[in-house]
Amino acid sequence: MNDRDQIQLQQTRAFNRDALAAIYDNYHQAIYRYIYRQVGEVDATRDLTSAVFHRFLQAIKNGRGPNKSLKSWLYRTAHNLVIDHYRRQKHRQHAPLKEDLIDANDNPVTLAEQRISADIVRAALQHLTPDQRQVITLKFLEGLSNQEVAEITNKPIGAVKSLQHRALAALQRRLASSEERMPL
Amino acid sequence: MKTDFTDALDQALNHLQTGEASSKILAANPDLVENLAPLLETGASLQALRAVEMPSGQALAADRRDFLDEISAFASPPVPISFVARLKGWMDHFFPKQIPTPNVAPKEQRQMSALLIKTVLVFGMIFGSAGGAAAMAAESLPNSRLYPLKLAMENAHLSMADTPAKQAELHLELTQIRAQEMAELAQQGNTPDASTMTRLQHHLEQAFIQAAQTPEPVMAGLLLQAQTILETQAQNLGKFQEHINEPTHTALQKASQLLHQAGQEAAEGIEAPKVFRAHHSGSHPSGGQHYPQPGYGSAITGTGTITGTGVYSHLHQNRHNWQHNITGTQTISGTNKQHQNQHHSRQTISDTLILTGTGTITSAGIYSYQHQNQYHWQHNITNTQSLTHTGAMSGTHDSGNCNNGNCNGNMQSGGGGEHHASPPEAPSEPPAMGSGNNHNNDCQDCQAPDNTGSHPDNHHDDHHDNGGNKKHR
Repeated sequence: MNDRDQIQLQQTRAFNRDALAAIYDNYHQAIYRYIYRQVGEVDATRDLTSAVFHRFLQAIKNGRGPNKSLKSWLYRTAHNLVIDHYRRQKHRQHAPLKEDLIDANDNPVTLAEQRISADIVRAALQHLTPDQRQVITLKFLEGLSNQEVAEITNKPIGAVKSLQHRALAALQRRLASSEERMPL
Repeated sequence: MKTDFTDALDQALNHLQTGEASSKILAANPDLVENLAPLLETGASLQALRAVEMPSGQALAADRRDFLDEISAFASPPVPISFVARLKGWMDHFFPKQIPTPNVAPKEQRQMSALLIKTVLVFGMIFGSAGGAAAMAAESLPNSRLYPLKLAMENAHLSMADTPAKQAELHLELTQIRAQEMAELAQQGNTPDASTMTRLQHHLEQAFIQAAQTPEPVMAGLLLQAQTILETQAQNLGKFQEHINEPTHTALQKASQLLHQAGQEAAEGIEAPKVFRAHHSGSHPSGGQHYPQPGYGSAITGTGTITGTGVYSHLHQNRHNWQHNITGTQTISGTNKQHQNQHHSRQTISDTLILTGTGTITSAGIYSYQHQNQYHWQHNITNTQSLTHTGAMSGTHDSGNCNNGNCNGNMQSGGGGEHHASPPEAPSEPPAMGSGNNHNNDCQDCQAPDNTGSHPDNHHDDHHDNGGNKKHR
């Protein structure tokens, strides 16, 4: 943990409002992006991001929470919440309609294509194991190094590389089968 | 070998992330091209997910504000949920250590004695001789003559709660009290009646409705309390397995399930407050398709179409103004539904319902209603239906237009009063398609249902004083 994190954490344990607000400002966007890239819905992402920080406050209040790396703790919590989110979604028999598929201000065809492409990749991502998905998201979408991914996932770097390999292979198979099903 | 490839892949991907072209990376690894190329392509396809749709600046500001409010809420000491705890705190505040306690008593006994003396003093001052009755009523159970006084005191207490947060807390506390009453009745060898269950449901629903009206951090606190209380009470009621009769066991299990489900919903509400709020105080947009969302309470308004097969297991904490066409096989359970349009259905509807408005119900179905609330029935029902009515009914029951099969909506009371039912009967088995001329209606003035076919004008307008535990087939 860096010194800044260390000081911030000490202040947060005293429920220092400024310190807590600074943590929110430092990490909110990163956590939002991390969740959005897996969930793909603004409202759901807002809820889940709020839930991450809610859990953070709860943990601090109960004398728990991060003691090594604040960033890792927040990403891990986000990861767990995304898993819960997927689990809940799985029990629902239909996905919600995407009413905001096209933005009238942009080229609707291009936007729709981009959106569909992202949706296909995101759907394929959902078929990975939670560990594989976490590694892929952190590495490729958040741009973190193997060392950082290893810290967040609590795994050795070798295991991170193996997960990355298996995840890409699984993703490749899934995307290939999606392409086969796509209408011409 | 595999580890070598894993390392080579990792290096290749790192190059790819720095913007290096795939062709160059592959050229540097000629022996691995066949295996490496598709994986690099897959890695590159992930770029499609890099774009992130951010919420509006207003929404971001609102989320940040919510977080800051939450800090304040967490920083302040929580309000104790127990009435006794609050009373003790209040009295300790106004009578700090003014009552000497004998040293001979054990520590706990001294504290309890002081609390008791203070309680008697306060009730004595406020109510005079009526204080004794009030105190006794507070401990009474639904089978006691003092119980109506207890309910009146609770209502008075509720009427003084002037904010949604206070209302939610009180309803939560009363939910807990209703569950405890059910447990105490079972311990005494008595079966909790349907009205106790109705009251429990009512307080639960109101707690969620009121909570949904509070600011985000307050709602989170309330839902956290709700989760703890509801899960604890669900476990308490679920423990009763032995030495109780079947109706009691059934009633406790049902209450336990309801509390457990609500506890889960509270937990989900903490994680997804906006979804919770939408389900308990918002509304679905008019028109369009509404997909089944099991396990949520909803306010559904407007006109729409529900298609497909699904389970609607709603903890309805709000009214359903229902103007949907429903097709396909559906299972609907919950409270407070207003049907105001056509139902093309093969539905199983159970639990507590409010049915109002005019509509047409067609096709075969099982309607197993536990009537614990108002029942305004003005539907035309065609084809084969099995209707089983059990439970306590109160309010005005208008009419039912029944055609064919087993349909009777012919109940009407004077309204206003509460009609207590004897313990509910087990729902009957559904009849076979096309059958259903078997009527067993204990309503005195009911017009005999016509079983010969569709005639929408067949209109009942009957009265009954005790509408509970009716079974119509």
